Amino acid sequence: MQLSEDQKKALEEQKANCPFCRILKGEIPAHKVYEDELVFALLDINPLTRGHLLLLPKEHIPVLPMASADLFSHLAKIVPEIVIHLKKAVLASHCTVFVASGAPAGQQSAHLMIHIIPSDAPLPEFALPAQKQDEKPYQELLRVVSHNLPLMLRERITVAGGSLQSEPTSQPPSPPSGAQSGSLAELIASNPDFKKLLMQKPEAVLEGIKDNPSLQPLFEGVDIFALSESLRLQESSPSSPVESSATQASSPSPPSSFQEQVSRQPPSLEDISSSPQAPSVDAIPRAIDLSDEQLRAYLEEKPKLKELLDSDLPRLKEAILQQEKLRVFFSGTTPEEVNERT
Amino acid sequence: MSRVYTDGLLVADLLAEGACMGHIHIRPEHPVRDFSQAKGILGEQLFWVSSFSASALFDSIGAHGTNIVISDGSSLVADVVARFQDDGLGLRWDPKPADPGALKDLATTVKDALWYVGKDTSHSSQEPISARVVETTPVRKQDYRSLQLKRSL
Repeated sequence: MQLSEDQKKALEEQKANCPFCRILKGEIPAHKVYEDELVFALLDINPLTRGHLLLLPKEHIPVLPMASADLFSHLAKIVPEIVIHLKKAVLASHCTVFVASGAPAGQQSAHLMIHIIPSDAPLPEFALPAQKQDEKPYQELLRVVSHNLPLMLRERITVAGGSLQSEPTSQPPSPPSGAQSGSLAELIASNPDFKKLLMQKPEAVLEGIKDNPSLQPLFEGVDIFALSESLRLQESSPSSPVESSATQASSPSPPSSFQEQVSRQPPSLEDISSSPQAPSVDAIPRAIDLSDEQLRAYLEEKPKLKELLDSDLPRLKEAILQQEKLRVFFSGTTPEEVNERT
Repeated sequence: MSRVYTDGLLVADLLAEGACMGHIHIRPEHPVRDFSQAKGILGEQLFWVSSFSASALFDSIGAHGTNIVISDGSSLVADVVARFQDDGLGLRWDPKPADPGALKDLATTVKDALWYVGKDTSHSSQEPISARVVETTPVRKQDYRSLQLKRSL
């Protein structure tokens, strides 16, 4: 996570007044029960249960996303171990690991802490109610999270032969980063809508990248227009794949639930750009917005387009690349899909 | 379908009937009771997915904060919830000061137990000096205090 100068200054001021930093220095007494190069743990003096422990990074960071990759990996490894050994120490059958980020979430200290709370039974303080959520915002959130979360995790985790291997990087946890052609290739392969947009409107993708800094590392060193052209060439002649990272991206990859999950919710332009781009030719309808009947009626009025759809798809695809009205009409779909519908 | 992530080890669902708008429930694909039963990197992975879920919710929903609650003991699961000011969700407790003497005793015991964290004890014969106790019978809770006294002798 990149901090501005003001944020860095505020962090330094926080650190100077932080009681936990002072505990670490030995200026304030505490019951320290664990320490290594990166973290330390102490007993809470106001415990919820006997054995309530606070695990803190030695570095002063307010929230978990600000943790470095090394610290984050370390925490992920030792939290389960601490739980196992703490439960044995206090003869507890249960344990709750609790992290609060932000004051509304109950964070009371500016120093990140992970509460590890052993108990004899599940704690009622952490019981979560169940209430039906509004359908529309829920579906929207589902679409966004199911797209973003696997991408975020993909930067950290690789699947190798069915077993997971974590790959620490130098970046803290954040939306996709790192110029890896593998990541971009997978993004293209698993998101047909994005691939179509890249093929048909590379300038729109470029604008979207400029407006969305978190995407920039993914496209670093990539010539969008060259990639677009190679994808178009590959689409038009599938029997002769072009040697490019895009080709590698489009080539079949081993099926896995991981990729299937990501491809389930392809992003719309709003997902990848903070400033959605609208078609410039308002009078032309989009095929995907028309019902099958409307689509048939529309094509009846466009005999040349209908002819190309019926008998000359390669030529139609060429025409789509060259004519904006056709790009508008076919945006979000393909000539093959339109054919199927009619 | 509420599934937002799956990787062969864990599944994460955005709950349609959750604690709030933005409640992700994460569980192992094959249920386990607690971290001690979590083989390989399952425990580690649960932490990773929970933390990234919190980031995903924070970014997607514009939350004011997030909570991660990992429950170990009945069934190892994690719940990640988006928080907003005055959302009434709770997840708080009243702080009650502990007895200083009891805390001091407990610190020794816990410190000894956590000595093993990060160490491969499968072939190690090393033990912390203060915990050289040979246990031949299972420790009951009522025996615990007497065991502590033995250690201090």
